[in-house]
Amino acid sequence: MNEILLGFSQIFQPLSFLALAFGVLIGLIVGALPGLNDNITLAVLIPITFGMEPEIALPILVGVYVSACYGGSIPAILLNIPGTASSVVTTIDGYQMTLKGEAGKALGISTTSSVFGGIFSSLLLMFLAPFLAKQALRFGPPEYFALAILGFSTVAGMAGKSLTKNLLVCVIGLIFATVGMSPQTGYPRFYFGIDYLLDGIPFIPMLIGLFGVTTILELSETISKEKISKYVLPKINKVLPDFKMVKRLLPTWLISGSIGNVIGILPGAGMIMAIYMSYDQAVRRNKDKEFGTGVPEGVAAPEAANNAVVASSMIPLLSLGVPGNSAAALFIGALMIQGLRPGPSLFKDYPDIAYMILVAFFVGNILMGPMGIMLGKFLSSTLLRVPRQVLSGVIIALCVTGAFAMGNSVFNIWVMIFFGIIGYVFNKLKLPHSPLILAIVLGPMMELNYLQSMVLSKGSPMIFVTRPISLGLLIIALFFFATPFINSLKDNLKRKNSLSG
Amino acid sequence: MGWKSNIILAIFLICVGIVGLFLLKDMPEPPAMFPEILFFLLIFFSTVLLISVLKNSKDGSEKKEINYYPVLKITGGLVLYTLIIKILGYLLATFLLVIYIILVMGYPKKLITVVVSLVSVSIIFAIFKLLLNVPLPAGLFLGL
Amino acid sequence: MKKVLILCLIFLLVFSISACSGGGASNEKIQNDSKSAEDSKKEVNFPEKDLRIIVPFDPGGAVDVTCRIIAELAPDYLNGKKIIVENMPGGGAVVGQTYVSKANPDGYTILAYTSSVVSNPMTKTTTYTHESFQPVAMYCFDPDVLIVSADSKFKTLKDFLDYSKENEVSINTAGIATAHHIAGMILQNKIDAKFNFIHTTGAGMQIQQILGGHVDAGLLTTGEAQAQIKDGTIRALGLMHDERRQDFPDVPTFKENGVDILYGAWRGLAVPKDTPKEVVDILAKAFEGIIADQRFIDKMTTAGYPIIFRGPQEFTEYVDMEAKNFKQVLPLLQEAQK
Repeated sequence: MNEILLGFSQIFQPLSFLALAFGVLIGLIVGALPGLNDNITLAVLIPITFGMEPEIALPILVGVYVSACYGGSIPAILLNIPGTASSVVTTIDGYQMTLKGEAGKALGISTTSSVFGGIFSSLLLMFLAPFLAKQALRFGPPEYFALAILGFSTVAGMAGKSLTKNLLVCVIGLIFATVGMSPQTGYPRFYFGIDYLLDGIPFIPMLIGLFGVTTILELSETISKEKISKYVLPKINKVLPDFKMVKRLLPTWLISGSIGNVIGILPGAGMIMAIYMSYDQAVRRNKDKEFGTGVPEGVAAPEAANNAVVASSMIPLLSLGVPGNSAAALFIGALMIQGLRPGPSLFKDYPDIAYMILVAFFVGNILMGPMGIMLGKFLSSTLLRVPRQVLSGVIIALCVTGAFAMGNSVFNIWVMIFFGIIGYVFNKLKLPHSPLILAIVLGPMMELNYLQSMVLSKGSPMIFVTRPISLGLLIIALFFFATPFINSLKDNLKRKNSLSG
Repeated sequence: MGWKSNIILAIFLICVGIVGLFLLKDMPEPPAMFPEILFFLLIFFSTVLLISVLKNSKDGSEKKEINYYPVLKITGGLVLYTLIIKILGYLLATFLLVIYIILVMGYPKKLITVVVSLVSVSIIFAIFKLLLNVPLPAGLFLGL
Repeated sequence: MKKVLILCLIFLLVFSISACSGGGASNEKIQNDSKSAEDSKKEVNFPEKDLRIIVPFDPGGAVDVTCRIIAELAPDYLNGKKIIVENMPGGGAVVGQTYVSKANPDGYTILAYTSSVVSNPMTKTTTYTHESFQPVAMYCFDPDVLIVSADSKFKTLKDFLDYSKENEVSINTAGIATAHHIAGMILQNKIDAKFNFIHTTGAGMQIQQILGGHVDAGLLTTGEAQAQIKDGTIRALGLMHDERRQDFPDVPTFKENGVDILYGAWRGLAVPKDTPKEVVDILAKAFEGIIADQRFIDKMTTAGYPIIFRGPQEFTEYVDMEAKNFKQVLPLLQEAQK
């Protein structure tokens, strides 16, 4: 406890505090700009922080990391374009709320949910990190394989109208995911002689295409014939949800926050899995509401989950020195450059710095609330006032630049255009986007861990059912997969009965 | 979009699946295993879709006239942009792209269009090139 | 009227852009200069503008970070000219390596030259080989280390060697055909063992699998596991180096245990093959200076990257030797890919 207080006294030093606030601001902005994300920003900032004192350098980096994925929800809600990959699910209900004139409410929900998720996980980080990190080590290749299967079961849950179409899209996504060198054997698959595809289809340019370009193409159909249209400006005075709403969202926050924390602690599981699982849980728990039409829980679930992943992904890093995701891997670089080794010795040798980092996650999440609301209010009052025709041009400029910047190559712009067209065609055919993204993220994880498990078990698939955690995950996945089938069977039976009757 | 497009989709994906399986012929077993399963699943689900669509052929929803023209124009503009970005350089190409998109979207005020393009491209350039050190294409003539 | 206005504005923009850019023109001048310099053996004026290091990996990795440390000090050694680090990831470094192999051989485009430049042309279809580059300076050699979990039954390297001669052992690497995988295959040959290789996506995943006891042992660079080795959660059994490392005095080498194996990740800089010798020498001298700079040494040591310097001649010989080693295990590798 004393150490925690030490951390607080360090972070409230004027310079450290300013650095943290600055980091949070930068994170919000880069998160809100489609095409920029926390990874690219951290990568750029780390060499800049070379020359700084760790008391200033680290709070900046923590601030960026904490707030970027919340910043991503702002354009997801206002424009249907997620600012970062962590907000792809937020678009489903968030944008619908904006269309209903509830942009302010949606932003408020996303803010409170993010702050809740973030504080939840930063408390775990402060008090339970070593214990939780040990638990995460129980996950080996078979468990990760089972976890990927569990991730896929959310597709079955999301199937609103057509289960077949959802599964079809999922398979298409998995096929896209096989492009590039195969895991374990390194065989180049379906890369058509293009070196850029050897590492797989570039993910961020693909997302920019699926969301940014598709949205503009959709818009152009109708808007070019309209007179200059302005949104009926929604009143964004009341942003913060009232007590009734908080009470309503609290279960969603708790469940999504827990999912986010569990996924965050597991190195390599990833934010995308967390947001999909928590959205799926929200859908399953609220059968009376029609998700996809602007349901508050649809915004609260992914936003609470993604911010819970942020701080909890630092648990394996700070306790074991194992990075949970690419942003955490960049953190290792930042710490090393300062002469700090992540791991238990960090807390022994440099308690002031180590506990400052923990506390910075906590304080950063609190700062993110008011700063995020200010930015959200500002953006919604400006973005929604600009004629959409003009905004489209600016968005396209951001899209092409962001796609290029992800690998400094023009090839990424081609990827963006390709997936822009795919997204548009998908919309026309009423094929959902979300299973595609999930499949592209989980496909490689599933295949890699399957092949690794097979090496470990010398070819016997029994390894997946003889290990308790893996078995448990597979049973839960089976249950989730089965429910929509059973439900649709029931419905069919009912319909047949009513038809014949 | 009625059931016709769904039938086309299903048949198209079945073809993709068959072509995919054909492509896998020369691939050794471990890397080919997953794609093989996936192409079979693709054919399977497409067939399920095809059958279910053919069954419910009557509930084709009403057709809406869609104006594909601007969609094609924007896609074409993006393709052209990507082809010439290395020749014209990032600044000029993107500036022209933004003007083009705003015009295709049907915005009538030309001066605002130009000003917005100029300002937005300059800001984006400043963020990416100057702050983030992204090596945006320089172009053959201007060297920027 | 409005159209005229647009045109005017466009012209204004074009004009202002071309006015403030001088880089393109000076580029040609330098080429002419270096050519005439070769002819008349005059002093070469290099560098006259900023240089670029192409890092064929994502930002944040060891190669990227070390290159940025070099870039930071570069102006002091290159007439005040800057080095800009550009990431060009893709294709397991093929994209960036191809780019530099085709770049103008004027010394202004430098490749962050790592072991993948040897392995890529042999395992993938590329338009270049390691001989398409002129090595300039090696600045870091991080020897591979064999690690196990702290509660593993292997207490010493001898335990491991004895056991693996009789039994199959699972070993993870950072990916197929990486330097670590090659090191593992060479070791396997030398001690006549059978390893089950598990290829992960990077050191983070390797350490997680070893700490969790899912995999018996792992091969990675010392730098990548130094935090866990120093914390005692991971035991380093043996170093693939000719002598013990100063910062890990307790870790024995393979050589001490009778297995002669030297392997590790090397990091260096190279330019396209036809770069004039004068330019290569200027660059090599500048990098030699940077590598001896106390600020460079401090940063590399705190970050745990061991420093070594090899000039153009020695570096070339080293890479040729590495390529020979690689060719020996190539049939094994192709077997593993099937």
